[in-house]
Amino acid sequence: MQPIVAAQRLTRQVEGPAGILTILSEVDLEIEAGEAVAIRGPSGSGKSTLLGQLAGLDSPTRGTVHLLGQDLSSLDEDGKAALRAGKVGFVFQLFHLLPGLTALENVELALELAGQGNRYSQAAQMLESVGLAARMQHMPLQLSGGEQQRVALARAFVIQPQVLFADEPTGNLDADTGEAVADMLFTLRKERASALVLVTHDTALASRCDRVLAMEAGRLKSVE
Amino acid sequence: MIRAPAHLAAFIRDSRSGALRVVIIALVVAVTAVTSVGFFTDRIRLAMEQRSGELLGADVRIEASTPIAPIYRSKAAEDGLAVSRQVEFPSVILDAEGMPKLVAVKVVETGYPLRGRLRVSDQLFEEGTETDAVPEFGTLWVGSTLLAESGLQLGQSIKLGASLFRLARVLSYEPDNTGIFSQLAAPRVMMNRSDLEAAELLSEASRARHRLLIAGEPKRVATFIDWARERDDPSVRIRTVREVQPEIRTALDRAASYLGLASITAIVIAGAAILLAMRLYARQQQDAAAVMRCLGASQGYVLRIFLGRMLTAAGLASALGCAAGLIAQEFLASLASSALQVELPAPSFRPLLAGVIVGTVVALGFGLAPILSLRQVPVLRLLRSEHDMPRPSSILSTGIALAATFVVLLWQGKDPVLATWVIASLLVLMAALLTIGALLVWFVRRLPVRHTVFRYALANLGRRPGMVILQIVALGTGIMALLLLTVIRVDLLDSWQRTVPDNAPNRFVINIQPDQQRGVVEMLEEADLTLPGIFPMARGRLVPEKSDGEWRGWNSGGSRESGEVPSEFNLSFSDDLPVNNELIAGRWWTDDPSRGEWSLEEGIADNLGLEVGDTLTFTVGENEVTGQVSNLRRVTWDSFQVNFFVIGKPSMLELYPATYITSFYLPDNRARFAGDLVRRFPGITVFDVGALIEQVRSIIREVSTAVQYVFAFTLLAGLVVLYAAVQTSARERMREIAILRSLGAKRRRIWGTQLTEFVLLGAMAGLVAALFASLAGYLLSRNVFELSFDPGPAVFIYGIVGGAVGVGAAGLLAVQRVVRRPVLQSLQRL
Ligand SMILES: Nc1ncnc2c1ncn2[C@@H]1O[C@H](COP(=O)(O)OP(=O)(O)OP(=O)(O)O)[C@@H](O)[C@H]1O
Ligand SMILES: [Mg+2]
Repeated sequence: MQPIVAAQRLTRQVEGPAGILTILSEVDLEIEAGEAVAIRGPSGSGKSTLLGQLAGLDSPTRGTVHLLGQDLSSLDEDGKAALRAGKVGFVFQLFHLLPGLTALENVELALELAGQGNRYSQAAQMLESVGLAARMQHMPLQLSGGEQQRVALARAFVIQPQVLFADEPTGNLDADTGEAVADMLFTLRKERASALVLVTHDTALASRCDRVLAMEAGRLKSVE
Repeated sequence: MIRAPAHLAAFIRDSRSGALRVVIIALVVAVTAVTSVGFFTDRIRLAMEQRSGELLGADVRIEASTPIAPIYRSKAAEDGLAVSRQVEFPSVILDAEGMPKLVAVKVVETGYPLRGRLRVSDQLFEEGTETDAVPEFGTLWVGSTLLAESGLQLGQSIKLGASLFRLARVLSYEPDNTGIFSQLAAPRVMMNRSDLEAAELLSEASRARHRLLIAGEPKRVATFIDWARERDDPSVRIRTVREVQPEIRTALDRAASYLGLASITAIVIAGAAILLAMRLYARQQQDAAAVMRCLGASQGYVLRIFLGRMLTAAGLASALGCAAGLIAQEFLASLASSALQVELPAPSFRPLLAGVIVGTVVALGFGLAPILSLRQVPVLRLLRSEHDMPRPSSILSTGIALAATFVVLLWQGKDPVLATWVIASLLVLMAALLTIGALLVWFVRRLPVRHTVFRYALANLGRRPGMVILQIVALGTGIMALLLLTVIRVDLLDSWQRTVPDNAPNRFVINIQPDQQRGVVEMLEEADLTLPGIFPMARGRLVPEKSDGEWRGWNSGGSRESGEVPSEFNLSFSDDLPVNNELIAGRWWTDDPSRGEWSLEEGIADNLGLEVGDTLTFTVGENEVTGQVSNLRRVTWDSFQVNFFVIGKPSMLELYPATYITSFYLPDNRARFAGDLVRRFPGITVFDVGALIEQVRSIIREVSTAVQYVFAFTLLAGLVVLYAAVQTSARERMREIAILRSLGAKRRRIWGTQLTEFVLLGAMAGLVAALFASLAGYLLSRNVFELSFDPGPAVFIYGIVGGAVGVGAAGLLAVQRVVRRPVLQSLQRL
């Protein structure tokens, strides 16, 4: 079977004040459908950069990325967006809910962009399953960090994504809340058989994945 | 799209954020300014036109030398317009000694005059009281001059034509008799139309002027004028107010320019506020746009969402602005109508449409560029927050904003000259503001300052030079407009008012025979009345010339029918260029006495389609006088000096019989002097143009008042710019203040740095503004208002001090809450 995410000799360089800085260097990676992969590494090692590359949020300097079987270099910005719509979910460290929309509307937005109908009942059901049935009409700023991240999970999973990218999803939460959110993340992923690319510092969280990769100074190596 | 309610809800929540609120406030101000100014100028203009209509006695007049076809009258009546017929012709009566005396008979019917009012009296040369009546059956109203010259008394009966009439009243004032050259130079006799047939006077109608006076609602009048012009009837002339008096026309044009300028200024300033606020709004919405993109939204989708919000804001603001504009103009109108002493006509609804269009165009014009960049926000910023959207291209933003301003100007469409000037100066202004702003920031960063508060403030200014320059540009534009409308407005209005000095000649004396010339001058000098000059004048009839198979001498496009070109001219001759005239093309006479030469007023040359070097012929008496156009003159019509459209070289005209004309200022309390003059020099005619001068003065006064009101909106728009400029940096400031305080900085020190920064910013913007306000005032006064004006140093003082104080105060007001708030709370809010 074709891998759902694949990177070949992926290199990312930026121009810094002291000349060219290589953030990612010759990264090769394949992730199968339904597989959960954790990426660990010290701060500044290039984890977020790699995640952004794999999800098509940025273009590589060299190398190729295939997402859902498509070569990202053959797509323009709108092409990549269309590819993500309805198939790729995201969870961020800073939640990134739209501050102007209610919890419910935030979830509905993902469905709308995926071109799905029957949005209200799907979104409401999803929020219920993350335990926020009572908070649907609340604005993001009225919710606690853990609640916001649960809305973000609902938004990510409501479209039944084939792959979910998560960058430090518990990084901004206290240990107990983080634990609860992580439980929810893994449960939802299992139910929907979504692949998962999880960036984290947290060894315990990483160990819940099928595979753990370590990032160091822009290079990727396998652990275990 | 998101379901409409969600979309609307998101919009409403957005609008509570500072940036969108500023956009909405700025738009409301712009739209309110445009609509209220629009409504108000509309009404003022209509009122002024109606008042100027007094000079015609109507809104429009159909004139002919034969009886006017009845179709005009029936059509006007059918259109719901008021009509009144009038005939004017010379006739003869016998004076007290039985000697024949030439009089100018005016036959009127009930309703006359349709605009303005007659004044009658029982005494000679009295002010008289206003009346709506016309002479009754079998009676005449006569001018003071007639009684003074003929020795006839009120109450006496005289024969006019075949009938006997009683001299009932003295006619002290006819509103439509103020033009100097527009009527026969003979004393006035006014009679009722129902007496006309019995008096068998129509046989004398060979030299009659027939007139049909028409007045009514402006729209209907306009329709009627179009209808009449379309008939293309060569036997009639259609005269409207604007064509009668160059003096009034000049005043009205200047008034329109002034009010137009004021509302354009409000738009541009509000635009600056929108520009700043939309940039801030776009910055604030970057994460939202990135999330949408990340979830798979196309760039088009992002654009639609934010464009939709912006247009919703524009729609909302336009509606609010229109409502506010309607209320404001009603208030202005009630203030103004007591000042103007006229009932202002109801406004037309064009300004409402203008409000909505202006709101939308301004919102798009000044806000589109940041929204366009928002579409290209890097999604990566969700992972690493330092990734920013590309900065809106300055060229693109400027281009769109200028295009929008131009569209608004053209759409308002009243003054293309002004529109072009505004756009050109805006372009230059922005380039110059940017340069100067950059230079200032560069300079300020290098100031060797020790004081830490100062150093920190300077460092702050230097840290984000782009933003600071933008703020200087926006604030500078705002302050400049304020300066233009305060300091420079006063100077401009002053010099405008000076064009009609208190002692502007209010009496014109014509028909002075060559042998009376010395006597008249002496009598005036003895009476201590200043006499600007006495000028020879001959009557000449223009001979159209045929060249290249076309009639020259008449401008194409029917200006002859529209009455702009008289066929008879008062030709003067003079060795020198008259004092109040300015040579604008060609040169004054050559030395060759055998060469015929003419000097033309620029407007009449334009109407006749003549240029320097063209040949022009007049019939003077029995002879044809031909010469070349040597030069064109610019005449200050509203100076009320004696002026001529056509002046000839003396060697060309001296031989022909001429009379003399002069003008002088007669104080009100010496009104009787005019009668003495006429009695001593029989045959001369004295015209009182006091009423016309008063008209022009009141237009100037009224417009000055209007400008004051309009100014309030510009001020408001300026304040919104200030607010927007402070808002754009408020978040960073708050963060900075909170951090500084958490590190233990004292409040005094924080106040100090913030204040220093704002004051410096304000002073820099003020300096730049003063510079350009002076320049703009100078250019505008010369090229648009045709007034002379020299900017003084006061503008700079007002600009720099005002900018420093204003921006300083606004800035402190904006940050004071943070300084007062507990540190933890402000850090949490960030
Ligand atoms: N656009 C950029 N310009 C300059 N440097 C960059 C850019 N993007 C990333 N970097 C640098 O690349 C390195 C890797 O950044 P990245 O955000 O991927 O690290 P990370 O592993 O996610 O770190 P953390 O765990 O702290 O989130 C850092 O040193 C960062 O400063
Ligand atoms: Mg990271």
